[in-house]
This record gives sequence, C-alpha cells and structure tokens, in this order.
Amino acid sequence: MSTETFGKTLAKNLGRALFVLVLLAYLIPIFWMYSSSMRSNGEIILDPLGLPTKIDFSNYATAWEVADMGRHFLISFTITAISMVIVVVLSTLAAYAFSRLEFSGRKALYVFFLLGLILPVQSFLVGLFIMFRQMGLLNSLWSVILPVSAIGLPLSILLSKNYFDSLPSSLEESAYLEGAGTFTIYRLIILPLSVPIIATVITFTVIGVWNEFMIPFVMVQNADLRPLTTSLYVFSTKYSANYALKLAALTMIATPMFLIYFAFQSQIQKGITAGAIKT
Amino acid sequence: MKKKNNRHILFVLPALGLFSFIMIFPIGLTLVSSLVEWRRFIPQSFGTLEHYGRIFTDPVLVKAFRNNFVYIGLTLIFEGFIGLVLAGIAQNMKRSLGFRAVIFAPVILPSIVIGTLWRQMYATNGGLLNALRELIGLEPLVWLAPPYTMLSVSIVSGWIFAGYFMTIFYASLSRIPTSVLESAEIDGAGPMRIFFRIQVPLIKNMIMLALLVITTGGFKGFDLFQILLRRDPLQSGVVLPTYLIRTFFEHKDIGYGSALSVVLTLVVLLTMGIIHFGNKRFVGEIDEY
Repeated sequence: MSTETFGKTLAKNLGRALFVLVLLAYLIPIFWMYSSSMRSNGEIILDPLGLPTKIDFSNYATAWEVADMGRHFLISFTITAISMVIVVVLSTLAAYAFSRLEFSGRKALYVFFLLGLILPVQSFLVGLFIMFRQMGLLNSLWSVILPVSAIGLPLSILLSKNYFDSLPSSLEESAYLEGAGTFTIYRLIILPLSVPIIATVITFTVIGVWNEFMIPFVMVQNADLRPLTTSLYVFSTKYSANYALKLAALTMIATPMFLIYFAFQSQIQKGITAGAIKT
Repeated sequence: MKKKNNRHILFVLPALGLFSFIMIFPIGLTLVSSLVEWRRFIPQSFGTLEHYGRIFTDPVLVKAFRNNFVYIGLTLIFEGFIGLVLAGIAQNMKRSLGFRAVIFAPVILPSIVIGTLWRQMYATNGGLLNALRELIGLEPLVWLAPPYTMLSVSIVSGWIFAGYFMTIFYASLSRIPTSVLESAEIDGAGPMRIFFRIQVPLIKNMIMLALLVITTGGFKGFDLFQILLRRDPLQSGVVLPTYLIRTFFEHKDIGYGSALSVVLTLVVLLTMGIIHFGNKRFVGEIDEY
C-alpha cells in the first residue's frame, strides 16, 4: 500500500471513529435523561447506569405538580407570544421605512439600531433594573417582555431591511400611481411578500425568548410569576436532591421541543444561524 | 423610493422608542449609577470614583478575569475547533442531515434544561459520568470543583455550541465550488489535507466571525455558570457576569455592580475592536464562500 492510500484509509477510519464517538456523546446523555426519568431516586443513586424496570410516568406527574409546571408553561407562552408580535410588527415597520422611504436621519437611525447588535445585555441590565424598580415594573410579565423584545429588534430590523431591499421597487409604483399610501403599501404589498423573512424572525425570536434565563432571573423574584426557565430553578434548590423528579421535569420540557425541532429542522437551523450566515 | 417626507419617521418611532427606552437610556443610567454613592437602593451622593478604584484592588475580580480567559481558551477548542472538525466530517459524508440534526439539537434547548441535566451527570453520587468512569476502573471525580471547574463548564458549552459552529462552517464549506476540490483530488491530496489546506483557508472569514462570537461570548456567558455552579463557596468558577450579578443583586452593592457592568461592556467592545481590526490588518478581505 502506498503512503497516499494509507493516509486516505487512515483519515477515513479516523473520521468514522470520530463520527461514532461524537454521536454517542450526544445520544448517551439524552438517553440517560429519558431512562432515568422513569426510575426512582433510590434506583438512580444506587446504580446510575441501570435501566428502568417498568414504564412508569409517576415521576412526571409528581414533578408537574410540585413545580406547578402548568402555570409556568402558560406564563412562558404568554411572554413568548406577546414578544413575538412586538418584534415582528415593530421591526418590519422600521425596516420598511429604512428600505423604502426617504426621511431625514434615515442612515444615522439605522446605524443606531445596529449598535444593539454589539452591546452585551450586561451593559444595560443593571440600569434597566434600577429604572424598572422606580417604575414599579419589577415582578411583572412586562419586566421580561419589554427587554427580550427590545433585544430582538436590531437583528430583526437588519434581516428584514436586507430582505425588503431585495424586492423590486416596481412592485409599489403602480400602487402609488393609484394613490395608495405608504402604510397601505406596507400592509398589502410588502408584508404578504415577506413570509420567508418573517418566518425566520419568528423562529429565532420564539426560541430565544422561550429559552431566556438571565432576564427573568433578575427581574422576577416572585416565584408565582416566573417563566418556565427560571421556575425550574426549584429543582436546583428545593428539590435538588431528587434526581428522578428533576430529570422527569427536564424530559417534559425537552420532548415537545425535540419534536418541533425534528419536524422543522432546516427552518429552525436557518432561523438560529440567520445572524451569522448570509442568505 | 418614495419622495422625501419626514413623516415617514413615524414607521421607525415605535421600534426606536422601545430600543432607546430598554437598551440605550439604561446604559446611561448604569454609567451615572457607577459614579454614585449608594446605600442599598438609595443614592447618597454623586461624583465618586471610589467604585472604579476598587476595581484595581479586588482579588475576586482578578480571579474572575483569569477564569474568563481560561473559559474563552477552552471554548475556542470545544465550540470552535470541534465545530470545524464536525463540519469537515459532515462534508465528507454522503448523507449528513441526520448527523447534523442531532449535534445541533442542544442549541434549541433552554440553558436551564442542559445545565440541570449536566449538573446531574457530573454529580458525585448517582451521576452518569462517574458511573462510566468506575465502569472502566477509574476513580470518581469531583467535576464541579477545582481544578476541574472551568473545564467542566466549558465541556457543557462545547456540547451545546459545537453544533452551532458546525452548522455555520458547514454552510460556508458547501459554497466552495466542487471544481476547486476536484482539482486538488486529482493532484492526489487526501481528505484531511484537502480539508485543512484548502477548505479551511477558504472560509477564514467565517472562522474569524466564530472567533469573535466565541471570544466576546466568553465574557458574557452567565446561564451555565449560574446553573452548574450554584454553590461555589471557593468562587473557583467565578466569572465577570456572575460576579457582576452577585455583587449587584445579592450583595445589593449598586455602585460597584454598575462599575463592573461598565467594565464588562468596555472589555467586550475592546475585544471586538481588536479582533475586527486584527482581522482587517492580518487576514484581509478575501472571497468568502
């Protein structure tokens, strides 16, 4: 065997070995989460590698109850839905003006929004806390909705503007001739043509807001008003010793997300990487 | 384009209002607050530089910075380099869709789910990893304590984000015309050689972007540190973001907490500037696929 083909075979086998190792590194933790979620706490501690002896969902019921998960699901759902509407409406309106209309300060304002892409959340988080505290907004859903929506704006405006720029301007000309106003054109011509970009904006906004941890962690101290993410913190504090309940709770949150993810995999990957990959 | 009319700014105002109210005004407030003498949430006097003075004499802050640098170094390997290698593996597969889907999956899960799962896996009793170590005859480790603290947190970061970087690298690699690779193959280069000598240099702009995202992300990461290291009495895993949040929200040290956020912001912006201009100076603009 010449060194060349030897090198190729080596690379191939190395690639295969890596492939299997990597898949195991991802599948074993997930499998362990599912299998342990159906065992008792004692069983897990005695033998972490054991398999469930029966299909048993009692941990799920208990975890759902002690963490009041129905309530927190609903709170997360409300926060996500409202934020999604705010981001989509505000960003497409602004992007439409930046892309299609002429007014003083247009360029400067656009650059001002782009500033939001480089600012870390920590640059305004404590100031925002002081402000919300003065306004009595802490411990309300708005103390989460407003920041997560604002954070979503810069990237949504950037992507929407780029998309609108790619639409031919001939689209609106005849509408203008017939006397349509700018808002009518936004609503009846631009928006209906923008389904792909709106879908992308919705994808990263919904996933980002649903998963947000730091903002509700500091803004919502009232345990009854926490979204799902920070409400789960009880499994790191009060119920931290109960592995079985904890893993059952995680499974209940992860499973629907996995199902949605594997059904819309390419759309979701595209949405989440939209900021990095040019389209 | 419609003719100029300043009423058009009305379209921008709602977004501008929310953005300024939530992100821009509070930055100013943070700056002011860092110059105020506070007693809990009650301002006492304005115009002190005492909080900034503390920055230079705070041993915990030194530790936080050191940990941040270690974390960035490790995540460059676990997120960036591994992500690149995974993209290379996927490139050389006939059908990689399923493989890529599995590895990307953790990116969509909330940090609390992954953090809690891994905390469980790292547990000394009843944890998956120590059970696996015992299976092959190794001593159990205390994963979330020195000297392994930063390593353990970085492994979880890598487990989540290697898939993200794999996906963006894979997308860039896919845009390289096959003719480029075919000619290399004819010249007898193996897949490893082609990958590292030809494909990787062709996507160096994307690699620089990943470097930027991972490095600045390393100064901003909060969730995993908070979730994995809830009890960290020795502060072995303290980083800038967790130290800032603890100072401000737990110790109610408003002035110093504000000064720390100003420091964090400057560090992030400075890092971005260095990488951005370093990139222009040393890598330069090239065709990007």
